[in-house]
Amino acid sequence: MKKQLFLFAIFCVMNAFSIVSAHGIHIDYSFNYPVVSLEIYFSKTSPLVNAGVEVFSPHSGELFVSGKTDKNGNFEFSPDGPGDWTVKVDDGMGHRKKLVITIEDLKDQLASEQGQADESGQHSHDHALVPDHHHENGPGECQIPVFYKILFGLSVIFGVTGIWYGLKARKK
Amino acid sequence: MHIADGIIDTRICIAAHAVSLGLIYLTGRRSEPEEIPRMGITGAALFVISLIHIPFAGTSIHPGLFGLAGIILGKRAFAVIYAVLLFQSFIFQHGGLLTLGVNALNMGAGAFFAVLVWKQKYWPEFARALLAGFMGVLIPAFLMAVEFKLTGYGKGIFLIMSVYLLAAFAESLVTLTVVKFFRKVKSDIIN
Repeated sequence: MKKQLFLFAIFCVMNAFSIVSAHGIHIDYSFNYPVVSLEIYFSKTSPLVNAGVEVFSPHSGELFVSGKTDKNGNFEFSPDGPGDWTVKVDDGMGHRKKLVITIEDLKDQLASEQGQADESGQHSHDHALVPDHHHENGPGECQIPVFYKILFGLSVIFGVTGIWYGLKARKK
Repeated sequence: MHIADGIIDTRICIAAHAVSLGLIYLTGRRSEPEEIPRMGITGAALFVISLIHIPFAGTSIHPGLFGLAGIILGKRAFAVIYAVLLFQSFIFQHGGLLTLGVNALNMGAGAFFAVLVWKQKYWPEFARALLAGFMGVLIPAFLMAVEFKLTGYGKGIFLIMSVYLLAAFAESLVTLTVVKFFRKVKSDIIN
């Protein structure tokens, strides 16, 4: 009987780990001058469709542009200058995400790239810089896999339970 | 079902925190040592199961097992749900820290209803398990929808309830399966 219970628990945990994907909104963005492209999703296989997106200007903090994600969970906007652009995503069901995207000085960056292209004798076709693709936690920051986060959470839960049990049992 | 920060008014969130802490004290005090491992294991199950993401109708829903938590833990379910939400908020940013009290009250209400249903011993056990699992989802969803309506946010009560109705059906079946399993292998867990 205990063996059955143990096997059931193992089965549940294994299944859970295989399909778990941290429920919540995630945003990836890429910058290809002059457009910032947002890819918004619940998990890699599930784009957030028709969710409200609001972009706030870094200078005034006022609403710069708003709209909805398309059927692939994508949204694009063209920032009119450098700074920290705030993006808010809301699906209207209680899920909300805020992301700050830092845009460097676009003109300087573009001018230096064009200058380099001219010096090397190559023709610069358009304004496209090399796409700069970031996850929401930004470049250079590490993203802890969900599996480790779950293990950490379970460790804390069992640790707290164990300490509490020990204290209670000692009192008894 | 985990409401993010910034949707519900801050004063309401603080009040909900205060009520939640009071309820944790009332429902968690004088717990016996034998109950604590059960609370820990149920909490761990709730922690993991809530992270299973099911894309549906342009949003994302997840199982909660609040009804099952009510059946297994009785009134102690509230403290466990609060603790699980706290960990999920810290580790996964799943639901806000400010709205933790509101979320705990919503989901705890589902568990409390399940406790009430489960205590109706003269009803057939399968009906109690199904109803507890069903309402364990539907009550939190209804409370969340009403809160959204009162704050003028969201897509409306009807849409929210439609989305969670399917989750409630699925969860009632899961609850029934687990109850039947426990009845077979270790009956005292659900008594």
